Amino acid sequence: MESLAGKVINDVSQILPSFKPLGVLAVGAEAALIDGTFLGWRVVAKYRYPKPYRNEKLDVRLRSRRTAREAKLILKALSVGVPVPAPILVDVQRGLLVIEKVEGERLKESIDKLGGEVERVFRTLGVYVGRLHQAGMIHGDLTTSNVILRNERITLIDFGLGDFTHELEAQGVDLHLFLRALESTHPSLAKRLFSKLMDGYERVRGRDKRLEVENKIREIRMRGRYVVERRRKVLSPMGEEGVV
Amino acid sequence: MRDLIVLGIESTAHTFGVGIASLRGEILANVNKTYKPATGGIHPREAAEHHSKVAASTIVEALNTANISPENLDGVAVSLGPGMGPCLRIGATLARLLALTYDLPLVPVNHAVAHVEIARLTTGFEDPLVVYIAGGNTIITTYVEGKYRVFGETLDIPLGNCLDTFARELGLKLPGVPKVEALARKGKVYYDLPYTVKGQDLSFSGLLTAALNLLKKGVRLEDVCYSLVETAYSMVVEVAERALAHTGKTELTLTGGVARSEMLSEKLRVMAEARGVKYKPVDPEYAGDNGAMIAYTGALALSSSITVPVEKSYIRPLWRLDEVEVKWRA
Repeated sequence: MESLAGKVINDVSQILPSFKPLGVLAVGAEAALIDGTFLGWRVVAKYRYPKPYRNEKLDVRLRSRRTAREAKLILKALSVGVPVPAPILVDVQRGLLVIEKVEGERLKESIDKLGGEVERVFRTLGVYVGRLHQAGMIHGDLTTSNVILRNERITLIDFGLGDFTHELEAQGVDLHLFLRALESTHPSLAKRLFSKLMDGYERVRGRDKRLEVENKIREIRMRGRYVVERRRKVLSPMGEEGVV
Repeated sequence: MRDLIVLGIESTAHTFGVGIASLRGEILANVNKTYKPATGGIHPREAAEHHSKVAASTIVEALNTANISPENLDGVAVSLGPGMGPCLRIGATLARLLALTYDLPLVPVNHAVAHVEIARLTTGFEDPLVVYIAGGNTIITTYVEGKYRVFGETLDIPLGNCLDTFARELGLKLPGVPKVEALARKGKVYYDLPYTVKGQDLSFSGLLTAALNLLKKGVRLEDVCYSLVETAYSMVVEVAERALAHTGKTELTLTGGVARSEMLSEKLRVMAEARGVKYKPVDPEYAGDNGAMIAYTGALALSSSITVPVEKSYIRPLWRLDEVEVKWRA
């Protein structure tokens, strides 16, 4: 891992000599996040580093496609009024995306300190998710780790798993994953906060859309490819124990 | 703890196997008979017929190899699922018979858990991330809080099935993976094919169709095989890498029938090295379905007092890996 961190800093410095690295924030499976400055700005460089295990043509295709998609998503998110880190530079071919560094605290850590403010935060978050969906985007990885708070400002980060789609299914999955993440990280608050989020969502998309999406979320939960209840009902009407 | 010796029966798909293993991990016998279809894929009924024909002699051969008589066993383990119903019934029936005849505890074993445990045994890894790839399964799993949790799996057909079906379309017989790989090694040009990773999950059906379409368009066979294998394996390695990053595990292993694939193994090794993770595949002798892994996992389960009364020993064709409580690791 040491060497991988060194290698990504090296690569990024070569691609972008005026980027001054301050430190590697994370080396994830897909990309490395590097803290630094660029032309005087505090920035984060997201670098989808080459994978030595796969064919070069495939590697370049995947990295550039994903980098381009992420850059387009954050641009479009900004244009429809969703606060995200501003894109500063993108090198699609080499998988490098430089964005504004957002200072603040992750919602995951600040959720318990917010007190009465927390409902407002989730309602606003719902407005933002509603705007994304309305404009044909999904975030793809909505969790409390990907929301940054600073004073009044709420910023959505990491569109690495996002996509352009108007499909109800994708929107349902987007919110379903958020609910699941809430349930696993903040179980006692999940239900109340998710309903606040959906209030904000409704403000953008209207009552009918809200109900439609909520039905979809319920369906997705029940569908859960291997959910025990479903298996009893659908795959094995006699129950598993009927099979000798 | 006293050492336990368990006889294990495997019959989830094409292989009827009987193994005898101890809790300490000695494999005393591993006798496997594999049904080979004359044409096409596995026909469950025909496979079951094959199993019922070889069952008695396989058990006798295993007992002779281990030089042990049934009275001296501590238990009988059987793979109750997941798998094909008709095949599972042969193994289950035999295991029940042995348990009743010799008054031995009957130990239910999940086939996928057994692939994981035999990989741990033969690699010496304590707590690896496990990539389990076979004709019937494509699962990335690791132990978290009492169970083998699934960190990624196929949403449609398994990887082994994808390559086997492709081979069959070429007129090659099962097993198709080594044949497709041999052709892939001679491939030079990579053609774009659908690369489908959805979050942590994989899909291979579109890839199979697209590869067959390339062939129809007249693209060189070796290049299609190379592009197919390269795409499919890269998808698996990507999901494995994400699971490693997410769980922070420091060991990686490959198990299941496709674990004999050198090309997949090489990719995993390269990825693991870059991440500073140790990599070792399962011993090739225990890669495909086998009785020894059921016996060994049965011994582990028995040591945690996991048994099932004969009258409740139903087969479980859809038994998921992550339903099993892995008490022996708690």
